[in-house]
Amino acid sequence: MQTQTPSAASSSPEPYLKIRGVTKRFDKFTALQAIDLDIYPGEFVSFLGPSGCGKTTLLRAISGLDVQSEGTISQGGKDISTLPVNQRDFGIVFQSYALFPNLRIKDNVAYGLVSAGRSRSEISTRVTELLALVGLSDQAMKFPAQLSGGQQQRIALARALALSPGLLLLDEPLSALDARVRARLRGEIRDLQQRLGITTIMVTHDQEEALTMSDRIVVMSRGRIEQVGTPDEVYSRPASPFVADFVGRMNFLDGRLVAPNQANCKGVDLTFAGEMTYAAETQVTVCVRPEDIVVRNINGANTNVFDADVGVMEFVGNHFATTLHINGTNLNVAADLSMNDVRDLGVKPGGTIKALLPADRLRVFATPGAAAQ
Amino acid sequence: MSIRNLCTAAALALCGLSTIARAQELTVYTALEADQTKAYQAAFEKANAGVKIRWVRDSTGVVTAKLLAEKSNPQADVIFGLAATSIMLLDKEGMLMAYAPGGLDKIKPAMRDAAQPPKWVGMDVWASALCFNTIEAGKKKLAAPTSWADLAKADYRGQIAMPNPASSGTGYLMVSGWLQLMGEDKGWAFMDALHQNIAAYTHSGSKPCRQAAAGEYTVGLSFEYRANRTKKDGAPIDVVLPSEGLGWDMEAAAIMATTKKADAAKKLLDWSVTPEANQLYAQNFAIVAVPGIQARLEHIKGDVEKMLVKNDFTWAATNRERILNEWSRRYGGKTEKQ
Amino acid sequence: MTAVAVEAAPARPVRQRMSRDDVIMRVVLTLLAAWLLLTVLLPLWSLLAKSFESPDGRFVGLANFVQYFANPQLTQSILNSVWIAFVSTLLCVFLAFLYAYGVTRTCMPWRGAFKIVAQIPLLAPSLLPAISLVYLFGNQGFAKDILFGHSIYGPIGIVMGEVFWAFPHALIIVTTALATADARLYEAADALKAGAWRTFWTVTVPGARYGLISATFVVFTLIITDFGVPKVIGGQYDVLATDIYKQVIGQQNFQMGAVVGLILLLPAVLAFVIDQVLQRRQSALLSARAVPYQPKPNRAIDTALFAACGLIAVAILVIIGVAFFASIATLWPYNLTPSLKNYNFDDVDGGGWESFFNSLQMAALAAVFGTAVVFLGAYLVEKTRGYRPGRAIYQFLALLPLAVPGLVLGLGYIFFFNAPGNPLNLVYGTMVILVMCTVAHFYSVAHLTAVTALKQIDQEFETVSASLRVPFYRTFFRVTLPVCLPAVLDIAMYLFVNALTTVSAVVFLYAPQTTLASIAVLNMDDAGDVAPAAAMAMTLFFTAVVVRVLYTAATRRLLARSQAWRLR
Repeated sequence: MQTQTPSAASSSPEPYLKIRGVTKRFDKFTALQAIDLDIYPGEFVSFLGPSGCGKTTLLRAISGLDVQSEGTISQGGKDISTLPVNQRDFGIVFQSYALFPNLRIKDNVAYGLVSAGRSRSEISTRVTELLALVGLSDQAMKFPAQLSGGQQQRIALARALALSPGLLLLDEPLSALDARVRARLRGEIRDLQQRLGITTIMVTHDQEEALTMSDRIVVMSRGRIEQVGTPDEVYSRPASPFVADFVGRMNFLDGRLVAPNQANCKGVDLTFAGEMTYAAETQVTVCVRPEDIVVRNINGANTNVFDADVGVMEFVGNHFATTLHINGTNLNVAADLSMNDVRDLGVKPGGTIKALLPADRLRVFATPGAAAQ
Repeated sequence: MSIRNLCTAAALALCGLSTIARAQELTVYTALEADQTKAYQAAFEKANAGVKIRWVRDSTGVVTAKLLAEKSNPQADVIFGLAATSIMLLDKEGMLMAYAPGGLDKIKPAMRDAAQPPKWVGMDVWASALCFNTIEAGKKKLAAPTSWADLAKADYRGQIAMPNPASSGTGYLMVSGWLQLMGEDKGWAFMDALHQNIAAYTHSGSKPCRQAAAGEYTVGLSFEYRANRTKKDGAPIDVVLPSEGLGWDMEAAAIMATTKKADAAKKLLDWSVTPEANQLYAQNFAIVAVPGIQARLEHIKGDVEKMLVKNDFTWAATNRERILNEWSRRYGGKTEKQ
Repeated sequence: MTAVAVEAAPARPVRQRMSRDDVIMRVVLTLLAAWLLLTVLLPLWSLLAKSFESPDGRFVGLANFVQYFANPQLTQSILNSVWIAFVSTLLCVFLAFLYAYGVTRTCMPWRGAFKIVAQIPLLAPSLLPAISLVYLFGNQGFAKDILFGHSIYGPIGIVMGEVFWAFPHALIIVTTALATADARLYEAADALKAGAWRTFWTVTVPGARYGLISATFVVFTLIITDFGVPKVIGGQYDVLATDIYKQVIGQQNFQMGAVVGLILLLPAVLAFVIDQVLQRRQSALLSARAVPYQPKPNRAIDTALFAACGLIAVAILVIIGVAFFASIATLWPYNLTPSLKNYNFDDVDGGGWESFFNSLQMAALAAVFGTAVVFLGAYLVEKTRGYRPGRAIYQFLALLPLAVPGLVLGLGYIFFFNAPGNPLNLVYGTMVILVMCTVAHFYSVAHLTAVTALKQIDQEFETVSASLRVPFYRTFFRVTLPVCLPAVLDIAMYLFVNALTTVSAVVFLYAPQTTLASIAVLNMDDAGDVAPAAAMAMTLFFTAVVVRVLYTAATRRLLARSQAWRLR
């Protein structure tokens, strides 16, 4: 079952955005299947998933760009399911920035204000305010092509915020930028969002982006929500093999259940926290993150401790991606060994070390199709 | 944007409307030459202040075709200067208004519709004539033809241009002239032989003479006005009137039954039968409707009127389609010609 | 563990309420579609209906077609048309390929000048090359001996004239195909030690394949439907296009004209459909990101192509030059003293100088009105949300004219607009119908230009505007139109020049007060006044050149002022 607890950031119990049974079909293809989701005021929520998972379709349904085939959406207590785009209340930022190339920066930012019938001085004040907000006060008279990608995206953000919308939609806002700019802008956007307290939805396929910026992450796959949770929940307690695989790196160890809290993977008995309700011999997958594998200070009483041969070690900058062969079995596990571990324990390819797979870090899923109860 | 478009469209439509609605502007369909219409228009408009002529000019075949095409929604008020054989075709379709212009009795009886009142009145006669390029003839050592029969001789192979009777009134009057002059069998036999020598069948009756003038071909079968005019323009041609006789047709005028400007239209027909008008016609043609007005075509030698073949208009009009079909069957399909 | 979504209560499909923008866009798009229906489809429908009628308007089934196919003279024209179009197309595309190769793939000198010279035929009616050919190769022609006694009147002349006239059309397509080559393929071929010849056949030709095929179909359609060249120089060699004219104008047989029109429609539609299918496939192939190819100097190849392109360019200049020379000679060929006598159009057929001013007016109206309709239509068909059937119908109607020969469209106009029951017949015989027909005839290329320009700008402008609650028309005028200004001006120029030079679309539709210069050329030539015809054709040519130059200068200034944002 999905968990939909409001995150710490939101105190109000009443959701700002309520999505109920939203389904979207294109001809025969179903892009969204009965999505239910609540988003609370002031939250930053990311829709994360591979391309074609439905995250963009869901965003477009919320914005009214592509109306859902079934289901309802309400925003701030008002049913907006059938409202056209220009009667909804949101600002939007696209990957392509979509700045008007023939208008100066100030006119881009003022674009919505002019049509809203604000006075000239009011507009000028607001534009100054917004440009200051995104730290580009000195660029007002330039044309978009004269700005860098990161600057353009900040202008796009300022433009989207001009009418103080209740909801900010970000459609892969950082994808067109290079890595450094992306990392910096990530922080800036999050910071801005927190300062304004604006409810924000961001679509992204980049897990790092989602993990660093969001209050909650909605992981989607094939038109369904796989998991909704805080970055920590999604990372450390993935609700499905898909989430486990998509977010971060993961060892997938195939085995069968031998006890409610124990599985045998290629001859290795792994004990895990909690109990599975499946019958013995059910095919399961045991998941463990490479960085969760412990190689030092191992207490002898610990379960899941094995002797392992060190295989290939790849230096990846801040750690070694190491392959461990569990002795006496043909089970291989990927482990991330810190520089300290490697130096202190003198780990090298061909050597032998002790490895611990902590029981509370193991996630176990019944293999699809084998989960018959 | 859309509103502006609509305005443009409306404005355009109004332009169109206003030209239609402007009173006393006659739309006149004609096959007269462009250089003739000017003088006629000036004289008519001078005599009839308040009526203006809008010409629709094209070759005989085209004007006839246009009139027939527009039968269900005629645009013309008057037809002025179109072959009588074509006008009779329109009469058969019931498109003409009967009207006896004042002074009708002053024109030759042969040059008007026999009906009372007539559906059309004649203006002038135009007859076939040859344009013969003397420079090219000199280079090729060709003798000047004096008769139709000469043209069928092998000497002239590839040297002759002739108007296509299907599109050109001049072409048709030649063919109908030959058939009436020689009889059908001999007429077709003559054309078979002539066909061997023809280099090009042209769309218009003027073009063969122009081509002869430019040396493109040595002999151009055309009509006397064009021949006279071309020589006057300085072309190295002689005008030959073949001795057997000349095919001819009459240029005539008629009022469209559907005209909404009958009064103005009648004025044009009234003017057409006046001596003044006929003086102008005589600048261009040897024979005009009013008797006794002498033609002055400086480069035409010989009495055109006497050389005209006996021409039965009713026959020429009623057999037009049959003759043209036969002509196309015989000569239309030959594609590779030198 | 596994997430099972609870089925929502009985599902009913959600329908979005339409905003004011949506309503306006749909209404305007529908109106524009109706406009196209009126100016393209209904006339064609009338033509089709006419082909099944007897002269007095009774339905006679296939009788007209039976009569047509029973007449070997008429059916011969089908073979003639196909043969001429086939030979001319091969020749034209081959020459265009050579020329394009020289201009895009070599370092030969004067490439810029070559590009300009090649555009010359676009600025003249198709009657002009034919008239020139008469002066060049006719019985009194300068160069008549080159033909070894063959007559220029007939297939030889038609092929030469058509190749000249269609050349720039082929060149534009082939140049585009060659210009978008991927340099990386050439580097790969180089690295693999492939010889120049092998590289040419394995990289260059396959790369330009779709361009060549597309050029072939476009040129084939242009040539098989062209009327000007065979009319002037075809002699007794009948083709379908001249047959329509003869049936309608000469023989007064409108039903048979409709039949021939439908037959002419077939190859054009076929070529159109094949080209569309191929183009769809091509876009899938070209999606990879290419590195532009920079030619390197190669003395042998540069020299050879300079010679080849030089010959072609000289041929183009000679054809224009001869027409100009003929137009100022007093009495060809006996008195070559220069004079402007032939420019005194008031003494010959065709409507005199008035027809020239009519042409200017018509071209200006077509450019202004046509550009507005085309661009607005393209914008709406691209940007209207939902409304799939409406957009599909509009798109179909906008592309349809590409497959419809001008003569066929014009004939359809007579049938449709001159029908007694049609309230629109008040436009018959006015400038309006000429503008309508011309815009309709040249609609597709203009539409595609607009669509391409609109696809190149950011697709999210409208979304952003809607989210900012700015009405679409404000964004259209404030952003879309200024950003697309170069394309808009291109469309206007295209419509103007084509309206100035077209014959086929309007030859059945002009009226005494609306005689046009291009048709005057035809009528003068018909009446044997070939020198004045050349003079009028040259007048049109010079006008197009002047307008083109003014346009280039003006747009350069305009763009410099209004498009400052393009510069970094």
